[in-house]
Amino acid sequence: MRKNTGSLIVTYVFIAVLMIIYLFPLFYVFNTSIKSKTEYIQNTLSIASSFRYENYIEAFNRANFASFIGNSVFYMVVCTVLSIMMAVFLAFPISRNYIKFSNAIYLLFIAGLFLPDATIPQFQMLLKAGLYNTRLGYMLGLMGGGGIPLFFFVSYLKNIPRDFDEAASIDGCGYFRYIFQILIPLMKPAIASMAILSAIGVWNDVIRAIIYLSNKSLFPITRGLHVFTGQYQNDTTLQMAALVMVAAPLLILYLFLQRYIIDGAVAGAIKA
Amino acid sequence: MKSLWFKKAVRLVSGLTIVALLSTAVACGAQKQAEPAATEPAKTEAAKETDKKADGKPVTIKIITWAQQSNIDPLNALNAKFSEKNPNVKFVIDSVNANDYPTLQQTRISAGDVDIVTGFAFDQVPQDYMKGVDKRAWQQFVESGAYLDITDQPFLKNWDPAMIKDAASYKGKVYGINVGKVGFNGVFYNKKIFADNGLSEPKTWEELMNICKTLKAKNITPFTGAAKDSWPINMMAHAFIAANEPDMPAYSKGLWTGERKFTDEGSMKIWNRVEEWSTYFEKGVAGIDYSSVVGRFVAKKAAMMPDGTWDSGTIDAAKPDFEYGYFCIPGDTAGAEPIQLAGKYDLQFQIYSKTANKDICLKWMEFLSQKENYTPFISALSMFPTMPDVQVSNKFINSIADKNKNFRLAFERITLEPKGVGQYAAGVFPLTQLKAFGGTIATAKELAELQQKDWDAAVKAAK
Amino acid sequence: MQATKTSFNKWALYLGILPAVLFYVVMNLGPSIATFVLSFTDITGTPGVPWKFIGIANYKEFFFIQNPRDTMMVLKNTVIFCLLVTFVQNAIALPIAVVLNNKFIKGRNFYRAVVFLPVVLGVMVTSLTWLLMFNPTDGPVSQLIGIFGLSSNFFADKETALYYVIFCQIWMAMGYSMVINLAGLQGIPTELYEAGEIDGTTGNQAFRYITFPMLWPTIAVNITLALIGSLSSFQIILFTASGGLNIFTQTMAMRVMYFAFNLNAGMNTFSMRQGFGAAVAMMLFVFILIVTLVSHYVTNRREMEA
Repeated sequence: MRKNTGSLIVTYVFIAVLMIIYLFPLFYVFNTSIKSKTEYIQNTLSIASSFRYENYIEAFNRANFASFIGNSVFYMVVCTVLSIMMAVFLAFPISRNYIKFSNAIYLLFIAGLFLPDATIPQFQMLLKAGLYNTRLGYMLGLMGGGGIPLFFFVSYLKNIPRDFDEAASIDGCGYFRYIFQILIPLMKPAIASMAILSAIGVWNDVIRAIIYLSNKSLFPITRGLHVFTGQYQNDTTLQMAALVMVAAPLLILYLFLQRYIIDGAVAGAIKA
Repeated sequence: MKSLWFKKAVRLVSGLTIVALLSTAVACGAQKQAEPAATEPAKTEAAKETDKKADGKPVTIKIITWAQQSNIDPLNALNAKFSEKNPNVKFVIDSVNANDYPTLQQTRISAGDVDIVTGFAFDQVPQDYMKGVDKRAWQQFVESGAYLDITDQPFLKNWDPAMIKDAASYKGKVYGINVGKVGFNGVFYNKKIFADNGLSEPKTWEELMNICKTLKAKNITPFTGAAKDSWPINMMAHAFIAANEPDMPAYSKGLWTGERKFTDEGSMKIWNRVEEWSTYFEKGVAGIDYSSVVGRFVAKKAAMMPDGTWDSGTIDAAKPDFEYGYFCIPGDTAGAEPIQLAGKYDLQFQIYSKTANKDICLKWMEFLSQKENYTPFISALSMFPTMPDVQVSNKFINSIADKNKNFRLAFERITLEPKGVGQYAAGVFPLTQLKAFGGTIATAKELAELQQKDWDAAVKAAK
Repeated sequence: MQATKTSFNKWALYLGILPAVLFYVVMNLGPSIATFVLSFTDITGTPGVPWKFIGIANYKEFFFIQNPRDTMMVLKNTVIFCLLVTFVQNAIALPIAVVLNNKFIKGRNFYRAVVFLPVVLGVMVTSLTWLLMFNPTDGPVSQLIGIFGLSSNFFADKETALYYVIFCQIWMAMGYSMVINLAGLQGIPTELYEAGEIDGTTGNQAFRYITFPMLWPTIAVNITLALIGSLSSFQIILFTASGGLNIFTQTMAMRVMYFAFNLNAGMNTFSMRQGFGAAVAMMLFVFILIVTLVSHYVTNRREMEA
């Protein structure tokens, strides 16, 4: 595919416009977050004259971000580990057809994608169970059973030869030991992709946190940001500093693990 | 290659986890250190005395309210005073912005994670002539038994019986104490701009329109307003109704029974005035939200700002030396007295019925019911007191005392809309549907017709 | 159905799947079906309030008591939101993917990463970013269009707010469509293009006769994902165009949350009507089902023709 100069220029202009639409807003947010309040009011578009990191300190303290971040990491770790473990233990026998009704069980999980929204009864159930406004209740509501990790793992496991299973069981290796010591290391790339995607999902959740949590000390960071921006509607610079603090971990994660994230997203979509 | 990525991922995640755990630990440590300092006020001799008497068990009372500094600061002061007498009791106030407050209230009551619930008055009670209206949230809470019945508490006799009856009772039982009244049928005005242009508070509609014309001729924008949030403008309909419909309960009933129409002569007079008024707002009023409108007012972007009397505290905070006054939207003729306020009972406290600290909550209410504790509280709140013979020290409230001799409930507290009503009659008079306020309907006449149509359809469907 | 033989302990296998199955049935499948049941009740979100079965009253209310014009507007918004997001997102994501798949483009990995970034940043960050960009008084976009003598209230403008919301949704989710397209493009054998080059096909022809037909299954996946995703998404609406009675940006999914959890209800102090919310959720479910089936039928037929 050779390109002539004309179409190459058009292409680069197209890319340039795209980059402006995608990068300028993020730059503008960052620029606003390091301005003083008066500087912002005088000219919203000016480049910040200095890096006012006080905005960050103030936002961090006023919003009580330390506790929100702690909560978010806790939810992230627990939900991710549990949902990945559940998906692995379910995906393995299904992909190998080691249990009765493997296909039926698989279909049952696929059907979940097309059923009505479960939020209202879920809320009622957690309320009745006394799990409303608890960490456990929130995480139960947040964790998807099965879903994309299951589909992804099932198809991934089909590429891992069955010989491994048999060799292991002949060696007298127990089932759980086999999963943890042999299978999971073999599934590393798949697990990494799904774990990161699931962690990002937990970090970014705000709706479940609005519905299932009422106590500030339990809020994850995105919910904390929502409350903070509601309270300081006039303090644009502070708001943006808070926003950057929520986005920064994701950005760093993304910089390092870009390929896993994108691979996971693509695979999840196509397998599903 | 792939396993290298995986190792990186593991390292990063574990690194993040450690950072987070550390920060949580630091935060917890900091909290533990901060707590005693904040919650144990300097003990006076008298306090030490009560300390001995009280069982001394430390108790935390959770209060929820909406985030408005003019509410929270006085509440903190009151609580500090209570803690001084009862050192074992400390308070935690949780607040969100007003728009999210109904959700907080609902969720906290659902979770049983609250002791004292702030709310608005038990008004907008469905009348016999109203059919199929949705229950108000407060009614649902009372019926579900979320609020403690305080009918027999002796401290109730300290309060204005009208308040107990109109704001805090349901089916003959009392569930709360409403601490203050506010008016919202008027506008704040910039005293300096008025004086510079030789203007004074209007007594008739004509005078108000003349003020607007004078200001406009001098290139001063007459009004700013928070149309983005809808309600700050929509509530002003009630100012026009208060000025032009003296018998508001009859008007409400008439609209429900069909004796009155939104398109009849009386209603059209209201609509036409709203329309005329809407032409005097600053450009881009539809994009201004409630949290920034006061900033525009004190920055002299406009000479007047429609708002409730509760916002004087926000103005004071935004610009302490700012000179402003408040007048009500006038009707046709000037009376001997200034036009009177119409408004509502505002801040109300209820005790969550299943609280473990019932006695302390009641004690707190009793404390609030003492005149010496209530007076500084209500003065700081900048509302009209609901306790007889209380002399408030709030400058703004005293400056408009002559407008509060004959307090009336605003129309929106009297009437209710039928269930599922269309958007042109939602909230009964949705002024922000007018193009001038960011809506889609060009003229008041068109809007009134749509309003009547939506209203009729919903009233018919509800039967 | 017979299971494949294995020497692993059967009980261990079943014990392994138990948590996932139990969790799924209790937290997802059961509640999903319960939505249907609750739609025949007047249950509220307040514990302690008695509730009862009220037959089809909620559905009756949806069709007859709620203002029909407003209901139509919500349906219209849902359709506009869904169709515009799906088609614009894919119409832009396809050329972007084709361009960024081109080896001649320097730094294409960086561009890809940038376009995908908002997917990772999520809905809160996207909403707050664009609320700042679209600030009607002094935001950058407002100043930019001001040069041309235009002005807008963006999310506060009832007539156009929905389109700004749609823009945000596309900005946020387009990277997703792009990477799926890229994956599809990489699956097209390069021999096809080489053969085409020998035959003297132009770039346009190559796209029309090779790229597009070969990519069609991927595009179909993209379209289905965007359709379902946009029909059930409401977060972006909630965080950008808030305001109690603002029916101009309300979609079906938003309406469910509005009635069931008072989300976006503003100062409206009605109680949470979860029974009615469940009925609206069921209507949305039927809607999504129809759309999915139709889109499946259409994309399949296209595949046959191709």
